[in-house]
Amino acid sequence: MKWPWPFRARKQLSEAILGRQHRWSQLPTPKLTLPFSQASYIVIDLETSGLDTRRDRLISIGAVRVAAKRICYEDCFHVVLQQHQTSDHDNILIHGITPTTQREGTPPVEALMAFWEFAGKSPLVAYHAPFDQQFLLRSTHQQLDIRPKSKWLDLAWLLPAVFTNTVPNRSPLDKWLAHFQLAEDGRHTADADALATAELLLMSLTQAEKKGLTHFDALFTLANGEMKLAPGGGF
Amino acid sequence: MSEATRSNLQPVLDFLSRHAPFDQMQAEHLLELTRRSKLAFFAKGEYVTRPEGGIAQHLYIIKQGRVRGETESGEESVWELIGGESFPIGALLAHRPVNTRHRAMEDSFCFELAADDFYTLLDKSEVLRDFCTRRLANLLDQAQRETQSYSTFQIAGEATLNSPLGKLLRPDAPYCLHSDSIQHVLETLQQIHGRSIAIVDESMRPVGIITLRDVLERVTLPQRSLSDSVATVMSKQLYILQEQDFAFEAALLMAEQGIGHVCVVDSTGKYLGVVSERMLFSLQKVGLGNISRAIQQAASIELLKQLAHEIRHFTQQLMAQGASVDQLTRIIAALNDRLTQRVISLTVSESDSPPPPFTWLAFGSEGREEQTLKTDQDNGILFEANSKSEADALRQQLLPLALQINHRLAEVGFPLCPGNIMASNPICCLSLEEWQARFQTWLKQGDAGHLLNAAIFFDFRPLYGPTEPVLRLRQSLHEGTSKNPRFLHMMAANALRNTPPLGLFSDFRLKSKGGGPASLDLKLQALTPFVDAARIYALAHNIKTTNTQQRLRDAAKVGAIPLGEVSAWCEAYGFLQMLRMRQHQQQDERGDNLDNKLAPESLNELDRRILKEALRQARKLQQRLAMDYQL
Repeated sequence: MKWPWPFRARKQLSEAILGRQHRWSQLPTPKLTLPFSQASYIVIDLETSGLDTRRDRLISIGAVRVAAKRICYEDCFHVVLQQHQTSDHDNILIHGITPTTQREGTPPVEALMAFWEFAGKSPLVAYHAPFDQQFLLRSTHQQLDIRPKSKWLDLAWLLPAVFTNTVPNRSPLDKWLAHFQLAEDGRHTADADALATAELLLMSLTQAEKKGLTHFDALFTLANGEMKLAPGGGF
Repeated sequence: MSEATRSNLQPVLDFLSRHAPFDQMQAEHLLELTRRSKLAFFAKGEYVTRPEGGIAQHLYIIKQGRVRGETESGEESVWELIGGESFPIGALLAHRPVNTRHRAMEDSFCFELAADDFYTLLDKSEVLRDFCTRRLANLLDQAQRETQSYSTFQIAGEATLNSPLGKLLRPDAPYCLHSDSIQHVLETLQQIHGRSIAIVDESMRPVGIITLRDVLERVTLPQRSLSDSVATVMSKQLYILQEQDFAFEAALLMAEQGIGHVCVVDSTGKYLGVVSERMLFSLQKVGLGNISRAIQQAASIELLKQLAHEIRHFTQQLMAQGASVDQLTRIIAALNDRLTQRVISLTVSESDSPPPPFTWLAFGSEGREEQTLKTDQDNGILFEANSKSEADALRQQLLPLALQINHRLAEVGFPLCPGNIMASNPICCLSLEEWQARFQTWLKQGDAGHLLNAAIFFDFRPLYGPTEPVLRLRQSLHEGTSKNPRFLHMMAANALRNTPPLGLFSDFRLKSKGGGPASLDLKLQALTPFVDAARIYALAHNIKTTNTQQRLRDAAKVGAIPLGEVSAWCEAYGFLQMLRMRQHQQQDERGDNLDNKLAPESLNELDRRILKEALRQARKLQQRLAMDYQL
C-alpha cells in the first residue's frame, strides 16, 4: 500500500527495492485454515533499544520457519540492523550485540526487505506479539512504505490457553522456557529466543490438536479469547 | 550458507557436538547434518516410529526427553533412549520398516533427518558410518536391559577389553544397603530394570550381591518374608576389582570363576558399580535375523552390494569391539552364504529359460565357513547327468550362468579367484560322476598338486540347490579315502612340513625380511596346521563337517583325539583367526594390501602371551598327528 499524496516527504527507495516490493506484494496469501501438518508459520523475535514502540529502535530480527509442525533450521533468518546511535549499555549486556556490530549492521531498508522476502505472507508468531508487531510494522512502514497485513499470533496468550494451570498469564517468556526446561544456554540473542519460542509453538500445536484445534485461525481465536477473558484485558 | 543460518544453527551445533558420534564428525558433515535437520516435538505417550509406518523415513536424534523402544515380542526387549541418542538406525540401514515402536516417555524434542539426507551423510562421513554399523550390532541384540550402561560403553567407541573398568561404569550405579528389606531391593531392581544389584554397608563397601536368580532360589522358593533384610539372602561371595583394573581381568575372573558379575571399587574400597558379563560380551550375542532378512528380500544386485558393504562394516566393528571370533566368522559366513544364495537366485530368476537343476558348491575357507574380510571366490557347480554327452550338454548350459554369477559375486565384493577355482571354469562345473572321478584320481595318484587341490576342494559345502548329490559326493570321498590310506599319510606328512614358528624353548622363531620387524605368517604358520590336521582327522574318521573347529570337536566325539585337548585347540585357533582378521581390518583401514605377516612385537603383552600359547597348541596338535601317522 502506498501513500497517495505526493507532497508527503516520501522515502526515496531504489528501483531495485521497489521491484522487490512489487514481487513481494504479488505473493499469495496462505489460507489460515490449513491443518498444522500442511501449514507454515514464521516465529519471530526482535531486539530493540527499549520498550517504547514509537521512540526506540529496532536492533535485530531473528526468525525461523515452522512448517508441518517441524522447526526448519535451514529456513531461518537473522539480521542486525545498522544503527546511527548505538543502544544503551544495559541492553548490550542482554543481547550481546556490541555497538560495533550495530554500526556494521545491514542498512534498515535492506534488512527489512530481506525479512519480508523471507517471511512472505505466512502468519507470524511471537511471544508478546503486539510488541513485535508494532515495532516491526512501524519500522517497515518508515523504511519501505508498506504495511504488510500478515496475521499475528501471540504465544503469551496461546500458551496459557492450551496449557491451562501451568504458568500464570502475563508471565515473561523465561517462565515458560523454564517450565518446559527449554532454555538451555540462557543466551538472549534474537535467533536463540526465536528458536526457543518456536519450540514452545511446536508444543502448543500438539497440545492444541489434543483439544481439537487444527489450524491457525482456531489458535488465533483461542489466544484472543484468553486475552479478553483475562482480568484487565490485553497486553 | 548465509551468516543468518549459521548463527541460528549454533545452538543445534553446540548440542550435537556434546554427543557421540557427532562430536567426532568433521565440521562440514556436522554442519550439513544440522542444516538438514528439523526439530519435531512428541508429546508424552506419542509414537515416534511404529512398524505400521512402512519403510523408515527419518533418523531421529533425541534433543530432550526420553524415548522408549519396544518390540512386538514384549517386555523382554524394552529399552530407553535419552538425549543425544539416535534411532531407528537398523531400519534405516536395511531400508525396512522399524521393528520397534518408539514412544515418547515424556514430552520430547527430536531432531529429524530425512532418510535420503541420512544416506547422503552416511556416504560422506566415516565417523557416522562406523557409529551406525556399531549401533546396528547393538540393535540386533535387542534383549538389552542394560542398554544405558553399555550403550555408553559402545558409544565410547575406543572402549575394549583393554579399557579400565572404571570407564565402563555409569556414574550413578544403583545399589542397596544391607539393612534394606528384600521388598525394597526387589522394587529397586524393578525400577532400574536390572537383573542384579550390589549390596553395600554404611561406609559404601560392597558386602554382597543379589541377582534375580538368587531371588528365585533364596526368597521365592523358601517363601521368605519380604520384610527380612537383604543381608540374610544375598550372595556374600563377592569378586572385587579396582576401577583401574582392565576389563579383560574382569573377563578372565568371570571365565575362571564361572561368575556373571564383578564388583568394582575405588582405591579406598568404596563401591563404584558392577560389571556384568553381559556388558563385556554384549556384542557377541548378535542376532542375524534382520540383516539376513534384508538380504533375502533384496530385489537387485545394487541393493545386495549395499548390504554387502554394510555387512563388512558391521563385522569390522564387531571385531573392533572384541567379539569372539568363532561367533564372528560364523556371522560372516552366514551372511556371505545368504548373499551368495541371493545372487544366485536373482541370476537364475532373470535367465531366459530356467537352467537345469544344479548345486552351487563352496570350497576352501568358504567351504569351511571361515572367511575373513576379503575372501576370494572358491566355488564350483555339481549337477546330475546320466551320460558323458548329457554332462557336456548340461555344462554348456550352466557355464554362461556360472560366469554371470561369478561376476556378480565379484561385484558384490567377493573377488574373482586368481587360481580360477570358480564355477565358470569347465573343470569346476562337473556332474556328480565327474567330481567323483576327479577326486578318485587325486586319492590314487597323490602327487604334490593333488595334495594342494585336496586342501581346497575336499572342504566342499553346498550353498544353493539340491544337497543330496553333495552328500553322495562326500560319502564317496570318504570311502575313497579309506581305500587309499597312503593318501592320508601323505597329507599328514605334508602338513607336518609346515611347523609353527616356535623355538626350542617356546620363544618365537621368526624371520625378518628386508630389515623390517621380525614376523610370522599367521595363515601359513599358525592357522594352516590346525586346518590341515582337522581335515585329515575328518577324512580318516568319516566326519562330514567342514568347519575346522567343528571337525576337531567331532573328531574328539568319536575318540580320534583327546577331548581334553580339543577345547584348547579350538580356542587357540579362534584367537589366531581373530589376530588375522584384526590385522586385515587395520590394513584395510589404512588402505594397505591385506597380508598375513604379523610382528609379535606389535602386539600388547597379553596378546603376545596368548599368541605364544596358541602356537604351542598348534605344535601339540601336530605332535598328535605325527604320532597317529607314525611320522
